[in-house]
Amino acid sequence: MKISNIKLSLRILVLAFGFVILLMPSSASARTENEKFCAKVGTISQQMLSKMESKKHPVILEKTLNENKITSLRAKSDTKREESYSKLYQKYSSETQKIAIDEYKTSIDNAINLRRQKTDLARENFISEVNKLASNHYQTVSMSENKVITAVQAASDLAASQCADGVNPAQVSASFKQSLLSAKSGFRIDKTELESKKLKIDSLLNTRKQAIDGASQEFRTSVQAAKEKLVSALR
Amino acid sequence: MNRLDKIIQFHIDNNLNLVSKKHTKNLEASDIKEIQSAIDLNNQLKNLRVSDSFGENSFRNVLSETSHSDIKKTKRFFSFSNFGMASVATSALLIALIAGGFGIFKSSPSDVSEDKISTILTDGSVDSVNTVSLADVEVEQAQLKAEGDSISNVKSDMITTSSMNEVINEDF
Repeated sequence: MKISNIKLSLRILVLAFGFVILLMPSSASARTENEKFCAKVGTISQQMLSKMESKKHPVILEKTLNENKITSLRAKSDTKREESYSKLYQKYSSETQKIAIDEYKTSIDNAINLRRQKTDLARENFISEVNKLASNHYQTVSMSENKVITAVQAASDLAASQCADGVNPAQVSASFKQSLLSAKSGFRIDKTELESKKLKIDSLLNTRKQAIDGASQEFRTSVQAAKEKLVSALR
Repeated sequence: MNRLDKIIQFHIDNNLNLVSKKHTKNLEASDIKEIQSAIDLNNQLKNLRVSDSFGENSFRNVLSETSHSDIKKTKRFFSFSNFGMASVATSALLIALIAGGFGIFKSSPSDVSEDKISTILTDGSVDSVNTVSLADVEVEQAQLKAEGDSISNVKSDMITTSSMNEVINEDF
């Protein structure tokens, strides 16, 4: 009886020893993996952050008005118009005719100035609103991007700090992973809102067009009236 | 189908890549402008330099049917990507001849020509008295339209998607 008990105990002991032997490599492997995490978390985080930086929305440059071109066109028109006035004065030289041409000239110049003022106001309003929208768009996207970058950076810093403090690497790794998942799922870009900003630009362009077309139409009406008045005075 | 469409379609249908002067001389200024706008949209042309050794009577150009949302009328633009540098260089000839002939390179793509104002004839008669003023408004309107279109192009800079979170790899 005693001998059989001893045999049984020996068998249990051998089995238990074998079990421990079987378990040892995996737990050692897990420990090694966790230790590796601490060794590489800094480098991989920086690579990740670097890639994230490269994915950031490019800065949108502010649009500017090409005033030189408009000024040049207007100056050329002004010169041409002065020539036409001179020809009128030469052709219709009586005092009465001169007064009529003076009036015509004043009417045309006023109409031109008014059209240009209204046009310039529409242009300035448009570019100002477009730049605001584009800037706002960039800020919106940029804010979300910076938020997620900051979260990843913070998770990386925390993991590095905990590794240095000797916190269990398995715990640090799990916490780091959770932080990244949280940052990832928290990253939101409201595409609908951003698309609506783009559509708003079309609407602003249309408003600008209507203002410019309206000013142009008023101008055409004014110059036609001025012409009719001049024609009746000169004939 | 407009004139430019017909010319391009003719070359596509006949698998031609040779555009001779007889084809382009019938083009109107508006057609040329359209070609120029197509060229401007082709980013691959940005770094092209025109060679001094251009032939005078004929030149090769590659025409490729494709679409581009910004070219609403022709829905085609010139493509150079698949034909190597030789084609690119000879294609530059076409551009140079067209653009040189119409003075397109003298100003930015969004600028209209001032020539119309310069060529207005005013004989001093009351009948033509408003000619300058009306031409003035017409030319300025064209420039203003180009300016508006150019500014609203900022939309292409406004990206509404981001793949930033795809870079985050929590399983390394």
